[in-house]
Amino acid sequence: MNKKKLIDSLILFTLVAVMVYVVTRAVLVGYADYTGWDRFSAIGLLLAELFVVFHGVGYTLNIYRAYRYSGGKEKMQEVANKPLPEEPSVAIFVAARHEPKEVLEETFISIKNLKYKNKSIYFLDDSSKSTYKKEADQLAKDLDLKIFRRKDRHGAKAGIINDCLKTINSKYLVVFDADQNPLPEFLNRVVALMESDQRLAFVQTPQFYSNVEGSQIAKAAAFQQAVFYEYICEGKSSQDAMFCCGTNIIFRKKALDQVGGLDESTVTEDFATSFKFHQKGWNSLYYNHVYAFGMGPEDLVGYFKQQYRWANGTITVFKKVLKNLILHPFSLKIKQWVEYLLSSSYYLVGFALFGLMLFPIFYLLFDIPSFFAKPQVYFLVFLPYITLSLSIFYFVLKERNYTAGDLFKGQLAGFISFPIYLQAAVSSFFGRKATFGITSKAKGKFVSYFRLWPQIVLLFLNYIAIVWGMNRFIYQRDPAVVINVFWAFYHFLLLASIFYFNERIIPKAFLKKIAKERIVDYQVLERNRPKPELNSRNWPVCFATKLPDRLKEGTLLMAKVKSRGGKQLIFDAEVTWASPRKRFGGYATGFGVAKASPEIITQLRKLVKK
Amino acid sequence: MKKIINLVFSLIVVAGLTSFLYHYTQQAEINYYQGHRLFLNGNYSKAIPYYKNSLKADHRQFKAKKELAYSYFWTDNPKKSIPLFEDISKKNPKNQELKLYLAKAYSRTGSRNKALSIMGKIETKDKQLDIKMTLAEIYIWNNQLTKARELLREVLAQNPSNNKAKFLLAKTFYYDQKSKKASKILENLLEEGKELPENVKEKEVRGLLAQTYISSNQSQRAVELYQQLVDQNPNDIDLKMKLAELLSWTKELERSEDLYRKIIKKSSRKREAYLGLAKVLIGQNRYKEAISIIDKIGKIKGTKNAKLMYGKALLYSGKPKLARDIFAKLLKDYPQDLETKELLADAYAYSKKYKKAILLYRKILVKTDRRKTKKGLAAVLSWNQQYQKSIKLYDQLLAEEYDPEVKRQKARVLGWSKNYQKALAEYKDLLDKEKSSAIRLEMEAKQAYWQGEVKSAINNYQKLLIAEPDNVEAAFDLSQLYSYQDMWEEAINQYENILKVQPLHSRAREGLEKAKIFYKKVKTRLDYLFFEADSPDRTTDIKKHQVLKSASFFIAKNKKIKISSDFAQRSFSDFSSISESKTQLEISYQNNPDWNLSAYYGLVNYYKHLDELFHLFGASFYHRFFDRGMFNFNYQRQRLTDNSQLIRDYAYRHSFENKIDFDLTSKLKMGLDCRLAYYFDANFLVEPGIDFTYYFSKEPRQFYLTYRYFFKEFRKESSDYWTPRGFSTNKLTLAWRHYLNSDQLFFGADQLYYQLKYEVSLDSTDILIHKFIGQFNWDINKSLNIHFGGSFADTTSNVYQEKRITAGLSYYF
Repeated sequence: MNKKKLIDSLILFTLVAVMVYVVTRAVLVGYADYTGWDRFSAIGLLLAELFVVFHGVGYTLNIYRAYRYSGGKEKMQEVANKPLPEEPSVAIFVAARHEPKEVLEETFISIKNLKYKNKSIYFLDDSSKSTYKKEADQLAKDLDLKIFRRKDRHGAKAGIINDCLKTINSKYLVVFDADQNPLPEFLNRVVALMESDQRLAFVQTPQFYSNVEGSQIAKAAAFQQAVFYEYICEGKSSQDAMFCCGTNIIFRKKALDQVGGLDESTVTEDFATSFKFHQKGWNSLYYNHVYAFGMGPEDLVGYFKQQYRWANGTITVFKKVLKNLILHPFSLKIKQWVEYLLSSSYYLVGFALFGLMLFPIFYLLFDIPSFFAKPQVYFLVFLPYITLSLSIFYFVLKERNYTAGDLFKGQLAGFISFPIYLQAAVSSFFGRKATFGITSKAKGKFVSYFRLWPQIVLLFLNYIAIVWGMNRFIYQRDPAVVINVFWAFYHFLLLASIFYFNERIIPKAFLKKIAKERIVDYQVLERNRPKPELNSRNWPVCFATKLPDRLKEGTLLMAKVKSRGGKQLIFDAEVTWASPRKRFGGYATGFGVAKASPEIITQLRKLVKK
Repeated sequence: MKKIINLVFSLIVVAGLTSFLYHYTQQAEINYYQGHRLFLNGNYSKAIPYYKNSLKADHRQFKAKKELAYSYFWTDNPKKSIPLFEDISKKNPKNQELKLYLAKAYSRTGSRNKALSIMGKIETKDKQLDIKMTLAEIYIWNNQLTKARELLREVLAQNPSNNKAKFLLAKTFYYDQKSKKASKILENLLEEGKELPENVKEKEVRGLLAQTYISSNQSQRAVELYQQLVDQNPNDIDLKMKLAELLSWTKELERSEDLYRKIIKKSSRKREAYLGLAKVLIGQNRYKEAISIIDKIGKIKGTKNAKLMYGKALLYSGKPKLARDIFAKLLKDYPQDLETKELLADAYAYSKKYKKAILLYRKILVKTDRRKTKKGLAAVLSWNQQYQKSIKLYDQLLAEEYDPEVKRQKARVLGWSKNYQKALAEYKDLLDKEKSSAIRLEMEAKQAYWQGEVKSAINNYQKLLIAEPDNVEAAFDLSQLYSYQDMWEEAINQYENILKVQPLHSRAREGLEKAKIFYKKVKTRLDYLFFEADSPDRTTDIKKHQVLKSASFFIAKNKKIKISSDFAQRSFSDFSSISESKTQLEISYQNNPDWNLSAYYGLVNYYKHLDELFHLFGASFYHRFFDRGMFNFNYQRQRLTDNSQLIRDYAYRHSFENKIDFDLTSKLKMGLDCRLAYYFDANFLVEPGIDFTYYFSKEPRQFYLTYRYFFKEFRKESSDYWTPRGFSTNKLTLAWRHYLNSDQLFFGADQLYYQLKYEVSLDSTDILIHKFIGQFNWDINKSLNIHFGGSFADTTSNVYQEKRITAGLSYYF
């Protein structure tokens, strides 16, 4: 049997298994002798499961389509590679607000380097602080950019793009985020695709995170992105339901004009606008070739903020999708409705995850039997369903060289974000475009565990439930207890990943202690400097010791350290962390080696290794 | 690593607390399910206490009530099942089965009308066969046999192959004394090989058939049938009981006795079996055994002689208090009966009421000159530590008539009174007269025992016990030796041997109890220690609070494990406190009295500031190379904790210590020792020493003096642990230990003592230290001990002045 046939039959069996599972679960809940809370929680759990199954099927089908779609990709590449007889005018928008100059500089230089000639680059500066404004003016001057500012702020990024859109007359509009670095061929390819089909409103290209080393959450976010751009988008594109993702995208100005510009009513303006395009009969295309790289969130705070924004915006659009489905059911094709419902409701997953976690705990602690009137039957239908779904999922992904571990990391990150999704969904239902409340604190962007209380509380509850359940099983010998203990344990492990992702940027283990006696002398070079960015990647060697005086974080000093051979090593170091209290005869102080010769760095490394 | 250990520890603690909470709050559920499992396996009687406990915890549980009701019903307790069936029927009025059982229960307790009224209500709604059958059963229980037969015939007319109906029909005939008809139906049922219905067991049918045989005077057939049944169901106690009873009727008393004894060994129905056995024993004129059998189930009946016999049986079976009551009551009826009086005196003596016993013996001796009474009095006097009086009486007895046993006892009592030389002379005198190897062995064993020569004492006692297995004195001494040498299995065996010969030996009883606790239970210990060292000169004063917890237990004979966990908080004057926890595992192998070996590994985890763990380990070896010499070697990786810097630096030393102790005489001991230690900073210590201890007096008022001289030579001076290169120390200790339980100085007794010590030491750097130590130790019972103490040291120079307070308890779980 060839691989395609194997996948086809796997898909078929999976769908049958899913159907059997869903029907059996529903029937079991219907027939069970439940009353009151039992029934409530049983139905709650069933709904949560149905949600997961619905999205799981959609997800699997998209992956499958992406897999089957690989033929069409070659054709698309042919079109994209075709040289253009003449280059239509393209306006490139980079909107930024209070972005560091270095980041912007890199972005604009790579945009300037695009091979496409007929382009105008617009710097949409939305900064309100004068320092940033000055920097922007300087940058525009240096790189010959057209700077655009507005008087009244409305609609965030969408607002400024819409305002600037009114002033230009190009055929196409390309939008980049401030940290995106496109490759030189980008414009040639996407304009060729736009030119080949006049009904295309936009062509979306993927973005990949380049900063995956050193942070587990960055890696997880990158894997999530990978699955999304590698499979989901291709699947959606095949159903003509690809939505735009805000950056690395080319719009047809005519189409944008027709829908009245970008939708400013949500924080995910891109997604909302796509829906409008499709309703107006425009098509969309996903061109799966990496032509731009960006920066992903490096820590939990960044990740949660990003997820919160996406969840909040998407659920706002979900309301619109539902409204339009009722009022204008024929404005989209069925397959497009399905895809939009899937995409826009995805972030309600917070409720589902919360429910899935809560009900086994309820069962174990309070004997509220939401799960399985008949555990044996449950297993009989659950096992084929889960085995088949997982095997199809991983089998197809393996085809593109992703490992189960990589993808699992991505899933873990999504799982621990359930309170963020819940909060975002609730805010969205009440029509608030609130931002996520955690702000980064002193030592890097390590989030205090007090602020992660929902995850910690559930982690704790799951643990209690596991122990409680095991005690119950000793006496009851009831298989339903084992099943629920299994789920509680599974959720416990997933939630425990919060410790894995919430890294101290300079982990304690990273700061190896060296004895006080090793520091021969030091001299402060510069005081009152800003706190250094605590990022382990910035420091080739870090160590901790005790000093008689308290040095402030950021202080630059020249240090003399005795090597293991007794030689003196001289280098510049920056205080990355200092204990406020004197203990054991000194202040514990952490250093990062700021400037030193490679030889000294090697010697210092040896010292630290000890 | 540290974080992981803390996390794992926290998880274990949370798991422990959760489990505790579960067990504390879920008693209803736990008991229900324990009962439920037994219920499902048909062990209804065992399930009952669990259901009761479950309902005690939560009386509203339907399921527990229901199963308890069934359990009562099926274990022939229909009366108790009634309120339960009534209660749950009210809550579940549609459940016909519950009503049926309620009716059955009423019927079986004789409440015929109630049963019939309930059945009537059911029957009006439903005329099914099984309802008719149930009604028939109720009629049978109510002895309305004709009505029952009518109903059963109706059933059989409808369904002629209903074997249950046939069985019930046979029952009606049997109860109607128409045994032949009954046996015919039953034989027919069995012969046809028909399948019996689920709720009628073959054994029931055979059982009923056997009953019909008995009724029709065919006992031998009944016996055969029961024997077959017993062979088929070897675990069925009811059947065995029936067969044993039947055998006693048919006068096959030996077979019956044998069967009863087998039942007693295994069964939970011991009481009935004992009664049956007693009956059989009476049938065989074995009254004493019968009485002791009856005694076991607490029945007292009979005439004066029977009572006396019963009292004796009680007394000699180790129940002197009960015997005392019987004798005292008998004496009220027969105040002049000397035998009763003497027995009462014996009973007092065996229940440790020595003064009362002595008074009673003396009263008897006023009226009579019985030698037996005198012997009894002499023994009790010696037990009461009135050795002189006892020896005088033995002398009197010996003057009246030479008796080697009396002389031997006199020698023993002399030994008890610590007059070892006189005791030895007495033994030698006896040996000259008797030329008995047993007496020689006893003498040699005692001599070794008094001198503390453990190995040869054990050896001699073992030989003696081969020659005289019933020598309780030797067995007790040996068991004590075993106990003090931690040879628990041997000790337990020996105590048990004593109790077989002399069930009244109260010291052996106590020794056995304590030895079993020590050997089989987990010893837990919790101590608190406060230590403060204050020095006017040095900057690093120490204050320490320490909580020490440990658990130790034997994993097999000779192999012991000890797990300890300490928490300590130290404050040093140069900076703030350091908190630490120490976990240690120790394994030891004991081959007492010759040698033992132990090793340990421990981890010290500092709570703050110090990230790494400190590893402790060590091993020790002890060898008694001859009876008066002991060798000790130990190696330890020790932590240096003199000051904060040393702790921060994880300072340690490897210490190797050898010690040899000699018991020069029973009062004078000498020890030689030498320690070699390698320090973390390449320093090296040699520390030789010598000590002498002299005992002015021994227990219960122990007073001794120890002199010790030692010398410390370091390779270099160290300011870290403040040592000069070398110095010598002379130390004198005076110690006083007073046992307040002076009449109970044996292994097994609950000890209560205090100890006071004074130490004075002078070293070559002219530091003079006076140290005062006080300790108190109390065994509240065999399992629980509390102890506390304190010490105070004062010095003439400006080094440490120390204070130490300890308090703790140990408990065997």
